[in-house]
Amino acid sequence: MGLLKLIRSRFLYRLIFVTMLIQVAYQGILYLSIWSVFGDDIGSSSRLALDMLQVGAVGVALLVAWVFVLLWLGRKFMEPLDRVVVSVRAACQGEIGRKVEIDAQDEIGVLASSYNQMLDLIVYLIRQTQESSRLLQRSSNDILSATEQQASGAAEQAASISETTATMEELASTYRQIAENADQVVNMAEASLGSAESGQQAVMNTLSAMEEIKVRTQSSANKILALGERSQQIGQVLSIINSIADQTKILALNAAIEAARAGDAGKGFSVVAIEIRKLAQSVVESTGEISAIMGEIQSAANELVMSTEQELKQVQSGVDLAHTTGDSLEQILEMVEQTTVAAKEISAATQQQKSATDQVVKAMREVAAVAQQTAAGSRQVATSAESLSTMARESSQVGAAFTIVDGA
Amino acid sequence: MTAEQVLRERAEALARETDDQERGDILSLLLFRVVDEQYAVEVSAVREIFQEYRVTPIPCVPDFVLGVINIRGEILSVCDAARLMHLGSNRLDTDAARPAIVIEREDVATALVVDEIGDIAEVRQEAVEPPVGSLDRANAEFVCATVEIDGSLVSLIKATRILEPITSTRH
Repeated sequence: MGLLKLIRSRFLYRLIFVTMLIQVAYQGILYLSIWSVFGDDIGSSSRLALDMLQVGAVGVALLVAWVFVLLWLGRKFMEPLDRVVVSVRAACQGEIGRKVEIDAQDEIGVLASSYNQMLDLIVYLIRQTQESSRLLQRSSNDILSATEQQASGAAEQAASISETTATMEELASTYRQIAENADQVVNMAEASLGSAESGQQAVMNTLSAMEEIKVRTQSSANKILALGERSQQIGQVLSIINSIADQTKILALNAAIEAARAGDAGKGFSVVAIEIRKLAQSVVESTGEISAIMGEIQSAANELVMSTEQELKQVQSGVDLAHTTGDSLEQILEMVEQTTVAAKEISAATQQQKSATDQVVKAMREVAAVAQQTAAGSRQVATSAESLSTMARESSQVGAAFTIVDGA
Repeated sequence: MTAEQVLRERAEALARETDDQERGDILSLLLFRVVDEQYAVEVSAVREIFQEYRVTPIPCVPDFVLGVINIRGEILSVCDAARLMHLGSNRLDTDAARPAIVIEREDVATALVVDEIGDIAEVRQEAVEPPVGSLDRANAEFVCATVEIDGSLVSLIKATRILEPITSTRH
């Protein structure tokens, strides 16, 4: 049984066995034919039979010799193939690179050289793979760290963007307040514009009233002057009356004197004369009173005229003051108009700023969305880098399964 | 009641009064003022009073004679009472119309220019007193008595003494 297993396991032994069987069969047939042809002779002659035995022995000896020769030669021919087999078996067990050096041009030599070439290729491939996986590992690590940095940067960016957005919204609300305040300023300026205009109207009314007062005061002053002149005329009349009374007095005195000279006859007349004289005296007294009253009237008229002049001056100063007030109101009007324009400009500018800020906020939101997308992308990249790293690890494991033996 | 009736009643009342006073010796005096002094002259010596006149100056007369005037055809000399009685002659208002009293005794008359004519006063003879001694000589020459009228002393002028220079020139 051991022999059978050996035959089965070794090609050489199988070949020898098969060749031996063929030789046995061949020689047997040969011997049988000889026996059939020359059997009778062989049986009849013992010498021949012996010859025959001799031939048979030589044949067996030849067979044995042939087997040994074949074994020796076969061993010699099969030895390189065994080496190839050993190398292939080692490569199958992970030990690659054991080359088989056979100096032959036959099939085995071709097989060995081809096998060597193949080994070179495989070694090159494995080395490439190992290098690539190492590079891949490093690159995936780099990508991972870069992605982590990117992720933290994206987070910072998102925080900054949210801060900026909040600031921008605050700015927008501030601008709204400013715009409201500017609107209030516009309203107030318009109200003061109305007030100033009504004030100007009032100043115009005051001016016309002042003019009227001036005219009336002038006319009353003229009337008072006329009154003074009239009272002077009355004074002239009074002086005439006075002189008449004086003459009357003299006449009465003369009458009294005449009556006295007439003695008792003129007594009654003397009384009448004295009465007339008293009347004249009382006329003089009355005219004195009248002239005193006239003097009072005249001085009062003069005072009136003076006070009227004063009044006129005051009215004039009032007119001047009203003019000044009007000018001031005019200036106030101009300034208020300028204020209104400026406040409107401020309001418009603030509105523009507000819309600009809104746009900035919108843009910031877009930037935030982009940043989120970037973060998601970097997460994906991280995942991919992780899988790449895994792949690199796997491929490096694959490379590590092979041991490269140099110089084999 | 009309004014005429009033005057009549008053006249009757006054006439009765005079009747009552007639029992005493009544003296009628014309009061006048010269400078600051009050003087009086008996009405019996006065012919008339006038105020408006034109004096014609004449040469070679004493300084108290202002000139002559024409009263209704009669030529009268005009004397300044103040100068005559040495009461100061440097008066500024010489041109002002000053009244003149025509004094007449017997047939001699002159116009005496005074500053103001007063009233006609009636006094009893008993009220006439001799002149006060304090008068200076020049003044005393013309004053013959002192009368108290309404609480003030009035000097009574001697009409004869006033007319003396004129009578002396006549004689």
